Amino acid sequence: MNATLFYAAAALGAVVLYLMMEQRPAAFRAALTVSGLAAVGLMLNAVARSAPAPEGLPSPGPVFWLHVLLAFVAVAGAARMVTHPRPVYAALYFVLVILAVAVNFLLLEAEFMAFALLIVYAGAILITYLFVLMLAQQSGDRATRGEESAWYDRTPREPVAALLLAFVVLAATSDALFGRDRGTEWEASPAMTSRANARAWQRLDDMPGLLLAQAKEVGAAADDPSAKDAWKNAQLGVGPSGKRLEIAPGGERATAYVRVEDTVKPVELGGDQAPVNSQALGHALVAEFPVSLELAGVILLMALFGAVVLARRQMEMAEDERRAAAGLPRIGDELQAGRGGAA
Amino acid sequence: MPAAILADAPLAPAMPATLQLTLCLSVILFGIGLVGFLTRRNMILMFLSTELMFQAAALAFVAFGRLWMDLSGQLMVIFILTVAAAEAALALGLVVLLYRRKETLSNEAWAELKE
Repeated sequence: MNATLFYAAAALGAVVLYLMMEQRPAAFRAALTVSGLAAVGLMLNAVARSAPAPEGLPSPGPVFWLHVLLAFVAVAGAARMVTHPRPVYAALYFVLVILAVAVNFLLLEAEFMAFALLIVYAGAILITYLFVLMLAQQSGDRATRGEESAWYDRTPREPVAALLLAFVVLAATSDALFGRDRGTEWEASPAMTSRANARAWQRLDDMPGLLLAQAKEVGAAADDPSAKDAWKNAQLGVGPSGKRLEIAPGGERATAYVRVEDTVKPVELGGDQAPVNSQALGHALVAEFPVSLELAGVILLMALFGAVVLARRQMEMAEDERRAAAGLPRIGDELQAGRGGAA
Repeated sequence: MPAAILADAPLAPAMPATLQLTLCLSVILFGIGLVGFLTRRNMILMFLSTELMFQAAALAFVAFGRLWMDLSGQLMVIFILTVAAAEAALALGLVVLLYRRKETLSNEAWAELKE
């Protein structure tokens, strides 16, 4: 039932997207906007209704509605991006999509990725796109022929086939969305939660400096004020089980052992002392994916070389044209002549 | 985790409905990006549409990572960003090169792949 509603709404959205591809009068555009947003709302409704609602989980609150709002903003920005006749506006609508996705990342507890996305995408990649757009499309360009944009920006290519293909891809991938309809287990089991907690504490254990700092802060606050100086010089100790950090059953809390003036004291750590997102992400990046990290560096280096090679070729072309205009032989010909002379 | 102000609770299971909303958004964005890649004739905007598809994939990675309470999803997004940055640098360099040759951004000027 929900799946049928989802596909019907997706079909409506496809029709709206098709109609958005040509220039329309203002009243028609408003009707398109309303029906497009309605299609997105119906799709979200179908998906949210199919979500399992197990006992003990919170009912839809502000976070849920913020997700809905962000989905509307992102889809509206994306639809306008692929249909806007002026490329610069399309790029700016993509910035809107990135903003919505970044806030979505914040809601999904990916704080570092949210800001990295803003800095790298909105700050660097999009500016590069805008530079190239402005470099390649000056006003009065002969491609635009007096119109406000070039013909190839106003005329979509094979819109019906593209929308049909996108609909098929959507239908195939959305199969994973319908939790209750397909009897999929979406809720986190206690075992999964305790495993995630254990991983978080393991990360803290791998970072002795952070562990000591957190334990000192908590321990000094719990102890009486006269022992403050002793806590300042505290070192990590070893507990009865031979470990410096012992995870409590269930993983909600952990006990660190700190040596304060020759006595080993246990310090109870809670969720506030677990590594925050950026600390955990940095640890995981280096500890779990070192080879991928190196490969990413190699890819970036290769892209740098590639960009330099492409830019150099441009300069040579311009140089060749100038030489040809002055009646001089081209650089390549001169080189070949020189090589022939040496042989 | 003091940074989790907006989230439900530190190290707590997320609400399935919000995850499915995010995945739904990811699927829709991917579809729109695909449509943009196929219907746009401007080479720069075709590449921009692939960036939209990258965004959709990144959103799905983060949502599934949140579901399994694992950081691997977010790490994948770092690599997606890397590839997107590399792609933007190379693709835009090529587009500028092609524009210098034919003075148009239409991809149909290069339909025959020869000069």
